[in-house]
Amino acid sequence: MKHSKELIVGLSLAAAAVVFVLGIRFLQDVPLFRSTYVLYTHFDSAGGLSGGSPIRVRGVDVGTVEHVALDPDNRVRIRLHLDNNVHVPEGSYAEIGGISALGSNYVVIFPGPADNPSITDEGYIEGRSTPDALEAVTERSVRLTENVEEALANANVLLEDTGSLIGATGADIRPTLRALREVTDALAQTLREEQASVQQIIRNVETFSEDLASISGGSADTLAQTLRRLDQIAGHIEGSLGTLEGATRNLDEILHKINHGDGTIARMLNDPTLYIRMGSTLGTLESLMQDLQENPRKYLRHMDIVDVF
Amino acid sequence: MTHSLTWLLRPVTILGKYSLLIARAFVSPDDFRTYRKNTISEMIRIGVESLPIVALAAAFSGAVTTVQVSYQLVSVFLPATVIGSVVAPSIILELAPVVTGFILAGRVGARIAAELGTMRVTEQIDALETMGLNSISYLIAPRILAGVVMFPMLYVAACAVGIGGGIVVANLGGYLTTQEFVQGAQNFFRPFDPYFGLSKAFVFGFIITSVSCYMGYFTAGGAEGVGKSTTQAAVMSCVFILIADLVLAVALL
Repeated sequence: MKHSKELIVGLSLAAAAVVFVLGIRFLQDVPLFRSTYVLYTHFDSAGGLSGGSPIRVRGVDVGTVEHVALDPDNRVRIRLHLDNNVHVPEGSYAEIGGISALGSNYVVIFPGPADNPSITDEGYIEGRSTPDALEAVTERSVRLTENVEEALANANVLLEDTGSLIGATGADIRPTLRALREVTDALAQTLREEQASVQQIIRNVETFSEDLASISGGSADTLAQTLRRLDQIAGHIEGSLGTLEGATRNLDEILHKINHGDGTIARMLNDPTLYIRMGSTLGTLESLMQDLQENPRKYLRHMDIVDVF
Repeated sequence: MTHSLTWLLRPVTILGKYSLLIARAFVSPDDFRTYRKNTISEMIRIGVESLPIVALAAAFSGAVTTVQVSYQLVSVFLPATVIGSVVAPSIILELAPVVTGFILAGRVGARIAAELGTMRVTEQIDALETMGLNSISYLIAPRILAGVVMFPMLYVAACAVGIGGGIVVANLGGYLTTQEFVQGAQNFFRPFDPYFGLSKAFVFGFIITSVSCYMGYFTAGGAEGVGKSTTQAAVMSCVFILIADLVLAVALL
């Protein structure tokens, strides 16, 4: 019994110790049972990096920073723990990413050409230092402040200029303002004097609009009927227009035929021979009539049959 | 005049009496082996038997913290992992040690005071002295030792179960996934935190057992006195836990 009590106490203490150590390692993101390999790198500044910070390749967590230390030459030496299945070829380099003010810094590894042999355990990977995002912002904001100050100074100068300008032209502006005021006064007086007639006008307008309203209200039915009829008429007109169009098309066709010499009329119009023949016929007829007048007997002789009567 | 001065100096007198009692418990002419059996059984009673209630309390406080932090930190700009970053350190730094401390103040402190008080009023302590045993060492040293050793064990269990409870509720309640929770906890994890929590647990274990032993050992006034010292043991343990919590936080963080 005594022995088993000691066993229980010992077991619970040992279990607590194991849970404590494993828990810390787990929360530090140090791999518990995964097999890993180690790489070294150097940075000019750790920039908020600490043991347990993640390592990312193309955004994927592939390991953790084991520890960050200062070298004798005051450069930062960083020990990286990478998962065994991660292939980091020669020519890769590391950078520090993230914003240190948010405490979420990580190491980014930019892999080199995939054909190169992998960097092996305890190998070295080049570390490139980039300015921390926040530092960059701070640097910019200083420049921005300077610009703003300059702009404010310019604005001050501008305001002074404007002030002096107004002072110089003040003499011109004052009579203008006085004249403007006179005009306004006159206008006000006119309005006062003519108030009665203005009111009359407004009343008239009101009556007119009332009449208009009553008219349109009373004859609304008639209006609707008229509109309907107008619609019908428009329909008829449309039909007529269709017929007209057909007629025009026929006419066009006829004219086309005429122009191109088909049919009698076309020949008449287009062929000059008829005209020439008619001319010659008329000439012959004229000479015949002349001959008849000059020598009626010549023709009448053959009309003996008349004599019979 | 002398009466009011005595009254004013009473806290200091009590501190002296308490310190002497604890010192005499550990400066013992006897071999430690005399107390080994006692120490083991106290360890079982203080540590192992307290595990279920401590785990229950830790699981619920972890779960409630997770739900409330997710309720408070609703923002477009905050990723869900932040909840893990807040809950895990809260449990490790504050909730696990203090919740465990309060529970043990009630469960262990009251029991120690009642045991020792009853022994005092039934004159068992006098009997031990008559038998030639160092009653202070025999009764107090094993209990304080058990508290100091077992309390950190309970703290570790409370941390594990508390964070586990937080993760379970985060999943079941749909607040965040296990991966987000763990990632958040890992992102802002400082290795110092669990050691700080462990030192709190160590101090709290000492406070609860020693204060309760003091209250029980100097019980007077029969059954009523036992009840009084039992209550006093639980209340004063809680008060001193709170004071020590603040002092440790100010001193070590």
